[in-house]
Amino acid sequence: MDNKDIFDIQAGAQLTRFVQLQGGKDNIHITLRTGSQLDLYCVEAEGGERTVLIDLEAGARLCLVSLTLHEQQSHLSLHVRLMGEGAEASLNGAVIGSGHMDARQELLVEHCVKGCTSDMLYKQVLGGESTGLISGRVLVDAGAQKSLSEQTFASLLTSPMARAYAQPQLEIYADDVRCNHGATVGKLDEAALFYMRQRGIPEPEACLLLQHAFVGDVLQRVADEQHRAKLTALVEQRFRGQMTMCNVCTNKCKNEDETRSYENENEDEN
Amino acid sequence: MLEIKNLHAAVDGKAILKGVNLTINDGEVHVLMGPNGSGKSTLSHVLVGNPRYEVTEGSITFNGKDLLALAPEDRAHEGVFMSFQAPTEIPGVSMTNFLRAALNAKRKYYGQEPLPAQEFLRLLREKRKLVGLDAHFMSRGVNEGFSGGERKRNEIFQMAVLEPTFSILDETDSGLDVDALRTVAEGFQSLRTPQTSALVITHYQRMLDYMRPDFVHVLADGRIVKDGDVSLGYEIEERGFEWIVGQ
Repeated sequence: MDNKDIFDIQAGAQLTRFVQLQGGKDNIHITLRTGSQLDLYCVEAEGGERTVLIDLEAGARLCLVSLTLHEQQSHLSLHVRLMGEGAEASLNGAVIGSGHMDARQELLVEHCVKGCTSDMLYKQVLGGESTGLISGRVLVDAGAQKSLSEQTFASLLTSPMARAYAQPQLEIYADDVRCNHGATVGKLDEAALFYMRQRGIPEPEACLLLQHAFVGDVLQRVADEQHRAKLTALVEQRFRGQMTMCNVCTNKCKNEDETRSYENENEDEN
Repeated sequence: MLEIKNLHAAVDGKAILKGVNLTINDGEVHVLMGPNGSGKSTLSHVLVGNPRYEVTEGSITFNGKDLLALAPEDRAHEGVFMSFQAPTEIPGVSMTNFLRAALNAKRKYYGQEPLPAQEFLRLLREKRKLVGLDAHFMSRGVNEGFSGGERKRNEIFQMAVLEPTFSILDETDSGLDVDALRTVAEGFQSLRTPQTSALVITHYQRMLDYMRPDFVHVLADGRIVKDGDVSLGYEIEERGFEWIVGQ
């Protein structure tokens, strides 16, 4: 059996963490104790198998923003359990696929008790022969009245060989809840593209601006300004095909100072 | 500056322009009028290279260059600008980033360095005043949530920033109230030089008043069927197109 990384966020703590996921297998279990808050920003720079379980106790708040930027195969299984009243989970992700990338994300949010909120916003920009799959399921248990839940999955296909799969699902056993879900798949807006070219913006640059704008609202979910700027820059580098492992790597090497200082920014740990 | 010869063009396989001939010299403003469906907007879209429109015959020469051989962005760099009849909304791309990309692409085309940030922002501020566009529009997505009038002001604002030598105003007056039209028209007039010229598509007399065109042309069924000076425009306002189209 794989080793499991276990993290326990103490009651009332507030943390902001940036994590780079490398290749291989990860098995992570995070517990957010009562009233704690975790802003977790993940970059998948390599393919791999990830299993993540996150439990939220009463009043705990989670904001997860994940960026899938590799060109390999990855599988993420994310299970979030809202176990205490008033817990809130905001799950957000952007997948930027090219080449033969095959990224599959299975998301399950379980509303175990009453009065919890969950929100999923996932966007995929898929080019080349890449495949992106987002399967989301919100499970509302019988006692989880007054649950609020949103699922929004949007995919943009920039090549005829790219494939997007989006499966928002609801499984509801309570009768006083508000749960919405929606999925869209489309291509670049040709009218917008032409408008930009008429103003002199070359077609590749115009495509890049439109693609960047498409995932912009996922990046807006990053509350911390400096982290948002860093992640925005990574997304732009990925779109431009300029991203190297060094852009995201937190290993100790020649970029140690830069990455370490970034990692420790804006933390407010109690 | 611009010479259109025997231009034929089609949309989705349907012939719209059937032999347009038009010459526009430096410093001239030409107004194009015509019944609905006569091909006015098709002509403007062909001039800026919209890929939806297929040129089947004829030529367009712009400052000695074969305009039809140029990509839309290169036509823009050469100085061709169109104020769109229905400007497109581009959510998530801020006006500032949009114009920075456009302006710097033009500078790159002419071998110039990108404009320094402070200078660029000063330029935006100065040009916004010309058309009375508030600063908060700059951080919003391009045309995102803009009213009809704001979109048209925004078109002229972009024209002011990009400084084209030939501008097409495709029904820029539609959707504008009297005050907004005056602001936009004054903005346009302030940008005129002896080297700039324009093709203005309109249905209305008030636009003739503001534009003070050198020539007025009537397009009907894909051809220019009558040319004249501004008095032709006023006559059309009074008598309609039937007396011309029926000739």
